[in-house]
Amino acid sequence: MWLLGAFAGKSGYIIALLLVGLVLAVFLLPQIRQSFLKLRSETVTVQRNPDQGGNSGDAVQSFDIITVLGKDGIPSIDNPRFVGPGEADQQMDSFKRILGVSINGDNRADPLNMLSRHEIVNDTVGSVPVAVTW
Amino acid sequence: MNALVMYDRQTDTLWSQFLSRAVRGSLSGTQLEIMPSLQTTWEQWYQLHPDTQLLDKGGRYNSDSYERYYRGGSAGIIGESNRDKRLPGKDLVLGVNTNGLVKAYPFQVIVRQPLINDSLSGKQVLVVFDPASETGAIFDRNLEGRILGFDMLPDTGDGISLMKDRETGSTWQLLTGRAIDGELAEMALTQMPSFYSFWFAWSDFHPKTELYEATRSAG
Repeated sequence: MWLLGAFAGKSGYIIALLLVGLVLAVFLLPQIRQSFLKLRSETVTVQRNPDQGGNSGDAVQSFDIITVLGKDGIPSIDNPRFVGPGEADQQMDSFKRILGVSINGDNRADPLNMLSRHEIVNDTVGSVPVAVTW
Repeated sequence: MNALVMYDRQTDTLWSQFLSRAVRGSLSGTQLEIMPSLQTTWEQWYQLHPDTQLLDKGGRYNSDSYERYYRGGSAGIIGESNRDKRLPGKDLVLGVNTNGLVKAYPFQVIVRQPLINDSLSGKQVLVVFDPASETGAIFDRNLEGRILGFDMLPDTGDGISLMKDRETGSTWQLLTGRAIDGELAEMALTQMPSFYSFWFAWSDFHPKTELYEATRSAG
């Protein structure tokens, strides 16, 4: 125990104990975080379509909804602005990933890095109101 | 289980993204329609749709805040609830839920078998994968009452993967399901909604899911 040796004396032991506590806390952090999150959870029951049968799951399933971030904690994009293909190709690296939607001949791409920050784009594609979610 | 829950501003109902269904509030039980989409590279999408528009990022955000998460081993925010050992948790799958049948096609399998003529509880489907852009899609291969079977065409080198149908020999784009040459030119297969998901999330929400296995013969 070189650590205790180095902190010989009363205050040294206290510092050493604090350090040990810190190390333990780091190891236990996922569990602490999880139980903390569970405190803010609620359970909902979801009825699956009874006529679907097959292997789509039990007729009734329970899910925990956990609030990690409150409403609008991640702001959605509500009035998305788009650029045309020429400018888009200037903006985007070829290998960057997008989520593409084609409805009634209207083709739109939402970059994944934008979706990661906003999670939801409320849009209208080919006259169909859609929410692109990630 | 780990997946986004969202709310609507009109009724304050909570909606599960993964189930595409309202789970709490006045609209509980309502199902949203899932529109087919493609998760692909900008290059591939631009080649398939030269007239596409792109969400303007206004010069912001070049990196993706989840890049480490995609590659790492951690599963969502709360970890896995039902560990399904058939695949590693962070393996990607293309999932489909149709006629009450739930099935997942692992990327590690379809990368080697990029075209599968499959049947899901009586529905004839086509599962395709473009390995270069790591893009998967699922189509209904019933074209106006006629069931078509497909085979890959050799790579033309122009970046767009092609296939042909066994019935008429027409040429189709693999990822859009659109015929570009031959008797069926201008026809299009209907793309089915599919999920691009980590295995841990797919198997959490669909514990009884079927899993496509590599050992089955192609086509």
